[in-house]
Amino acid sequence: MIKNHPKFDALVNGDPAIMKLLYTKVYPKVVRFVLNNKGSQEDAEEVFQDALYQLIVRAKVKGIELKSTFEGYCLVVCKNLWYQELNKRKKEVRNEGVFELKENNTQELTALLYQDRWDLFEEILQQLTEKCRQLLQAYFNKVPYHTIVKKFSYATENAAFQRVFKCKKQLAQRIQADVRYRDLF
Amino acid sequence: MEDKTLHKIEAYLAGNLSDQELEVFEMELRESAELQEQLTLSRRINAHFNDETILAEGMESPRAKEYMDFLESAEADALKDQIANDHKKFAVSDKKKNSKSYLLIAASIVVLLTSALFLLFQNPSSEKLYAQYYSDSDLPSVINRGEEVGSLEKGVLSFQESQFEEAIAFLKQPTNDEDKEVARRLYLGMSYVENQEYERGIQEFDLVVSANSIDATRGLWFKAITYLKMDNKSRAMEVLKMLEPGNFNFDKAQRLLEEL
Repeated sequence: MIKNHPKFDALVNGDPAIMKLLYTKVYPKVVRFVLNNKGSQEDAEEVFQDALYQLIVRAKVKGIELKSTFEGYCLVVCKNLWYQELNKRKKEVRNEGVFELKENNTQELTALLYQDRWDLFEEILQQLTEKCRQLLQAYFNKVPYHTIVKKFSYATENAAFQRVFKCKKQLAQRIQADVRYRDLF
Repeated sequence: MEDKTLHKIEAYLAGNLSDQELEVFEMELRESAELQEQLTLSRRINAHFNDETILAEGMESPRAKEYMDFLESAEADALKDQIANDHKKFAVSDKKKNSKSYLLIAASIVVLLTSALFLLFQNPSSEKLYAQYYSDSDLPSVINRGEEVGSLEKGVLSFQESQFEEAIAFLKQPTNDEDKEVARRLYLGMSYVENQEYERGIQEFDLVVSANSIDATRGLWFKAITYLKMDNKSRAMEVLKMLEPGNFNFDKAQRLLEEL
């Protein structure tokens, strides 16, 4: 049985109160975000509608359970869609657009799977200890090990490296053990 | 899987294996499905957290099949139409409403202005204080005439042109120069803040604070400014109180504390 957060059930059912909430609380932020990041008003409108479509499809097909606020999550979905669009445009500029003649359905499917994977990776990261999370964020942010040593008070760079390694191993094990991993790849 | 093998995977992905080690690893890789799977997982994790989008994955997965069944249905087409109609109704209705309600608005403005002015003098909003106290001239100057333009300088130029996503892409690249690292993280942090990615911004400012640089307390100032932008006055005040005489913007911080 498909399980949704109640606000997603309301969205699926076309509840006008939820639409109003999204258009007053999230939509202006999406417009601002897209305009600040090389996009136009039309781009923002398109992204917002694509996000609504994506959210409803995902809520209907597999259900969405929230780990953050409803509005915050909707904004994340919009931002991720815009990042994907920017990447697509960059590739087009570099004449790598060989695959751009995909059908709409395939593009939509790509975006749906991308967001599902995003949810999985971010949710598992949140399951780690705070220290592990901070360490991994610093590591993925390419913070040099000598800075990690100072910030997290390790004795040596090797000690910091070992700790990062253990945290990444935990993250990988949890992702691999999650039932969604097999479902998504 | 043994730690030793996992270390090899990391070294392989980072390009840190010697020619001989690489040859042995690639041979093992051809023979072990488990190793291949582990390598793919590590690659996916790195790509996700390094903000690299691998888009064409999972197209044959069970989830993809479920989605495709829906996307090809008549229900999906009807849903798109519904969303387009709703957009006209909810995104445009505000404009229409506005154009038909001039009198009501005019009357409201008088009331609102009176209240706003009253509130303004009583208790300034975080937004107003942010606008008043945030200045990009508090960010360090990094562009010197005649110097080679690297990723830091390109990032700063993008920041100054309000191209924050582009700025982030440049500024994420370390400079290999400790003196420039503080400036890079401050600009990166503010680019995140402008992009409404506040937690990431704060993380950069924390790294500035923990660096042993004379500019470290600039990180505190920008962290406080970020909390102001997030409308979290109490956290902004906590951070401002950490600034001591002689620290960056100490006097300005005291004035801001008074207003808060």
